[in-house]
Amino acid sequence: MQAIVARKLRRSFGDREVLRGIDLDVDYGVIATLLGPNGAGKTTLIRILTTELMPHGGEAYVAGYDVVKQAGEVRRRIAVIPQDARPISYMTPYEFVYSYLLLRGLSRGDARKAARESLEELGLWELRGVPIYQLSGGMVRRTLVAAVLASNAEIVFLDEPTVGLDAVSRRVVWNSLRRYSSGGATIFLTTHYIDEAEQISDVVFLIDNGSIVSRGRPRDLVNSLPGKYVVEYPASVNNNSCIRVGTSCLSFVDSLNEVGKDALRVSPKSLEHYVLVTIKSWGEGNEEG
Amino acid sequence: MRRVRGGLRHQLRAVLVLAWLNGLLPIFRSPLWTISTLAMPVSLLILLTILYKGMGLMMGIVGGLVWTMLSSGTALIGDAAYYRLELKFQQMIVATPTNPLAYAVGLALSEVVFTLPGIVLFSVLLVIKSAISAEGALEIALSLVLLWYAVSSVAFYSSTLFTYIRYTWAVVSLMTLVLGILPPVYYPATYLWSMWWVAYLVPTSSSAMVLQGILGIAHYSSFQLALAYVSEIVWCVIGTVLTLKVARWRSL
Repeated sequence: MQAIVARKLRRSFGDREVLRGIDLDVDYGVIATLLGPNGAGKTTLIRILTTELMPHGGEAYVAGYDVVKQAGEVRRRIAVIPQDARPISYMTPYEFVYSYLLLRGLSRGDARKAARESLEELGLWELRGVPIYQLSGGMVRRTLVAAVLASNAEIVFLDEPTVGLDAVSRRVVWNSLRRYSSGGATIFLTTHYIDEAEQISDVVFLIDNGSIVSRGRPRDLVNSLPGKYVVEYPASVNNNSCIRVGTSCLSFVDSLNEVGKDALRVSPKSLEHYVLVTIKSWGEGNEEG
Repeated sequence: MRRVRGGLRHQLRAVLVLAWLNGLLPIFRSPLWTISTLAMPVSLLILLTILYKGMGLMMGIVGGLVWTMLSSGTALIGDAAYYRLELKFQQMIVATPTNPLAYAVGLALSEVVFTLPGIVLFSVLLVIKSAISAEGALEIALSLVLLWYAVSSVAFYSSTLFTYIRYTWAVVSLMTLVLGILPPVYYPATYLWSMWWVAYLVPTSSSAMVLQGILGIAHYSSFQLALAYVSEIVWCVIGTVLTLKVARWRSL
C-alpha cells in the first residue's frame, strides 16, 4: 500500500482551474517534496489530501483511505502544518504541543512523553515554559514542527515548514524530518527552497500550472540535465543552445572552456537548474495556489 | 504508529481541552483580559445605581448577567475567526480525530470559562441584593444557559462568514450595540409601550425579560414571559441549524 495516491485530481476556484488532473504516488517511509512556483497548486493539493477541501474531480487516497468518502479514517492517520500557521501565542511550547496531542486523541501519559521527546529533539525543551510570544520566529516555527512530529502520525503534510528559518534552525528541522521518516512515516512537504528539497527529499514532484510536470529522485533529475556546468547569460545573448528563464538564459556545458565572455555566472548543475528549465510559468502565479 | 482515539469520549475530552486552552489559560496568563471584559457591564451597573438607586442596581445586575453571556458569544466570533484565518489552528485540528462539533462546543465553552469572573460577580450581587428563591434561581440559570447556547451557536456560524479578521472587530462592536444596548436589556420592555414585542426579536432581551420578571423589577404577564421563553428556544433552534450547516471541516 502507498501512503498517498492521487488520480486525475481536479479543483477549480471560480473559472480558474487550479489543479488539472494531478497523478501522484508516494511510498511510505519517504520524504516527498512538492516544488513549484506561486499559484501552481501546491497548497490546494495539500488541502485536498488533508481532507480540508473538496476536489472537483478525480480521486485521492491517503493511508489507503479515500479522502472524500473516508475522511475520518484519513484524519486519524495524518498531521498537518498549514501554510502560514502559527501556534497560540500566550501558550508555552509545552502547553501547545501537549494540548495538540490531546486533541489528536493521545492519552495524557503518551502526550506528556511525546511532547517532551519532540521538544528535546527540536531544541525547545529548555524553552518549554516560555510564552510563545517571547520566542524568536524560528523557535515559533519549530514549535509547530514539534507538535506534528510528536503526533507520530503515519503521514505528515507540511506546507512550507521552514519558511523564515535561519540555516541552523532549518537543519534542526531537516534532521527531525529525516529521523521521523526513517521510522516508516511519510512526509509530504512543499517548499520554495530548492536546496532544501535537494538535501532532504527522497522524491521530488514538480507542479506547474496545476499539473505534475516532472517527478523523480533529486539526483536523477539533476543527472537528466546535459553537461556538467550551467552557464547563465543575460537573456539578450543570442545563443541557440541557451534556455531562456526570466531575464536569464541557461546554457549547459561539459567544460569550463566552453564558457562565453558574456557569462553572468557559472555553477555545477543542480536541482535548481532542473526546476528553472522545467517550470514554464514563472511569475504567473496569483493568490490561490 | 501510536493509536489515536476518535469516539465520544475523545470528543468530550477535546471540548475540555479547548475550554482549557482558550478559556482557563488566558485567565491565568493575563487576568487583565478578563477584567477588561467586565469594564462595560460594571460601568453600566455603577451608572444605573447612581441614577436610579436600588432599581438601577437590579437593572444593572440583570443587564450584567445578560451582557456577560452576550460577550461570550461575541468573543467566540473573534476567536474562531482568528484561529481559522490567522493562526490556521483550525486547519491543524481538521487533521485530527476531533470533530467540528466538538471544536465548536469547545470554543463556546471556553468563552464561558473566560467570562466566569463576570458571571460570578453578578451572581453574587444578585444573591446579596435580592430575595430569590431556589426555583427562581434555577429559572434564571436556565434562561442564561439558553441565551449562551443561542448566542454561541449563531456566533460560531457568523465566524465562518469572515474572510478577513479585521472585519470581525467592526461586526462585534455592532452586535454589542444591537444585542446589548438597544433592546430592553438594561431597561424593562414595558418602556417600549406598544412596541414591547421588539424584545422578542433578539435572545438577549428575551432573557432579560425573564430575569426582570423573576426578580420583580418589571411586571410582565405570564403570556409575555412564556413568549420570551419561546423566543429564546427559537433562537436556540436557529443557532443549532446554522451551526450544523457549517460544522464540517471541509470547504466545498
